[in-house]
Amino acid sequence: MMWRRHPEDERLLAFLTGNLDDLAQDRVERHLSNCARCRRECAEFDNALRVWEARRLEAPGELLAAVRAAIGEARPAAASAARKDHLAAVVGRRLISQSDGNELGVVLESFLGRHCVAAFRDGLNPEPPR
Amino acid sequence: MAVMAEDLARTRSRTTPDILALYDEHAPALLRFLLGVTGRRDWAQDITQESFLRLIAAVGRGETIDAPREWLFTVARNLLRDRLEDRDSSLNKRAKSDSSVNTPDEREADNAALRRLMRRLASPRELEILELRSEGFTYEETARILGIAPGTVGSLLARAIRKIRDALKREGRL
Repeated sequence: MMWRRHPEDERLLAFLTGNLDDLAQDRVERHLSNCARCRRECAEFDNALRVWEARRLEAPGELLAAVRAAIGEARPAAASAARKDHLAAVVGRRLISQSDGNELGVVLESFLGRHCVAAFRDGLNPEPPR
Repeated sequence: MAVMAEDLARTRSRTTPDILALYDEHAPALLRFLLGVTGRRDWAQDITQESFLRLIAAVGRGETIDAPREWLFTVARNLLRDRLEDRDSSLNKRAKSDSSVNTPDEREADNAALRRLMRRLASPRELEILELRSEGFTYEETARILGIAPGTVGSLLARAIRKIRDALKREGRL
């Protein structure tokens, strides 16, 4: 099936960048084979894309090296802190799940607060993931 | 306690992916993206570093990250958005007394005339989409990174490309 109207710019660009499904890609291709105006439009978009991407920046080597060194230095401490947080959450969840209604549960609630205990019991992590 | 020991072992095993190998694989693209959108080396450096530190922390917390490239770009883009909002807010406060508000971006900008022109003509969102496109992300991936609909990615990319095309036409290069 052919379009009666010309495909809009968004569709031509999706065609050029491979973001259409096979059927839509095929329809645009067939339209282009019969429409000089859209072929010209497509060629202009293609050129604009190529010019832009030809000016793609290079990641400066010295910047990459500086960040790599900083991450290398910070890695053990960051990993250790995150591991401790995670383990505390695991241990907390286990203690709380085993203490529902008993004396340990009462003690935990007095330390952590009812809301925090309920969050752990429901399997929720009170810390946002990021 | 045996179960806790298993938890400990599991947690340790989750921290084993080599972050520096991931860095070597993905950091150049992330830096290019951040430099392309902001033109600022200091921001690109800080945000890249912070993104990888968050990756280390996420792995340490036991999160499963199936697509680290997309994850890193999402985190970096959120950090960038926060910085842009902070900057815009402070620029708005200074705008009445300081007429050279764009100087830091211009000073740090790369030498490519078209990129400088696009930083003036395109919205930050359009620039982000152009840069993500240059890094090979699909509309779907770009939409997830930016938290918008895939259709919006197409519309904004079309708008940005029309601006490039028109600029090239004005210069007689198209």
